[in-house]
Amino acid sequence: MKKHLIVFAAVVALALGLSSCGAITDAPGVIFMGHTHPMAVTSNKVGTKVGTVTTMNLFNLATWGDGSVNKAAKMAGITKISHVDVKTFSVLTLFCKKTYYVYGE
Amino acid sequence: MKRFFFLFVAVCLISSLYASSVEDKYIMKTFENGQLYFILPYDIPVQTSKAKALSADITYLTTSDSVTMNISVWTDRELATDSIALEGGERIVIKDFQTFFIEPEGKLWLHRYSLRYPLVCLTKLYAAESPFSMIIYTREQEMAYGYSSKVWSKERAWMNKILHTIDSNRRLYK
Repeated sequence: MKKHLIVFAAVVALALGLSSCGAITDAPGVIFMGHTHPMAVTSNKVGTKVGTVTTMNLFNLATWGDGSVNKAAKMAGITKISHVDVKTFSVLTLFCKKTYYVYGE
Repeated sequence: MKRFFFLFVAVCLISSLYASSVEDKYIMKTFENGQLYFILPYDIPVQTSKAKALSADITYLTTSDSVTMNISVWTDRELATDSIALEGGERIVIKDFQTFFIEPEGKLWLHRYSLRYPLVCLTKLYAAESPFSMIIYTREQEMAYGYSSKVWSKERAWMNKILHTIDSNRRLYK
């Protein structure tokens, strides 16, 4: 019974984890994720300024950080955004860190 | 349960190895006439207290001779900055820096600045055996940031590797 409860809890945790860290990627990894992928592209010229912001998620119980494009653009003095990439780092979907890179001029 | 715990520890160790490589500390993008290097935000601690460290990120275009360093400085009150100095292998004083914004963040005030100086100066700062200091001069006080001698060799190692990469690739476009 105890074993079944542990397995059930693990499945629920993974499902919840995939719903956050795995949501914005086409290649979610349950055990480990450490990859960068595109998030958005505009018709503006490719920029030479870069701004970053980071959000964190722990055990799917708490999420914090300002991951907005606006904050990243503000940090680099970007007024015209060309594209946005996101890097996801996750361990067993229990700890997740997302870093957003905003490029522009 | 024991196996699950050891698996979790093993994954954490493997992921920590992944996170510590120098490739994780910068991004390089190719442009028509050169390359853009972005050194991700890193902390420079306060020298004399345990106040919040300064966060810096660096952008460099191989078509230029200067780097752009954007820094975030947290203070307990709003300050008017007059100049920013980098003292190490040589002394650079920057008076024409740009202030992106000043805003409250929790109990502190966040000041975001952008400064430009020659790449060769950055290279000299990290080539020095002793750690450099970044001093922010305001009307009210001076704030000094810099690494301790203990951590300097580790910090300059990864930065020098990136600067060496930049130097190797610059020659492709000269």
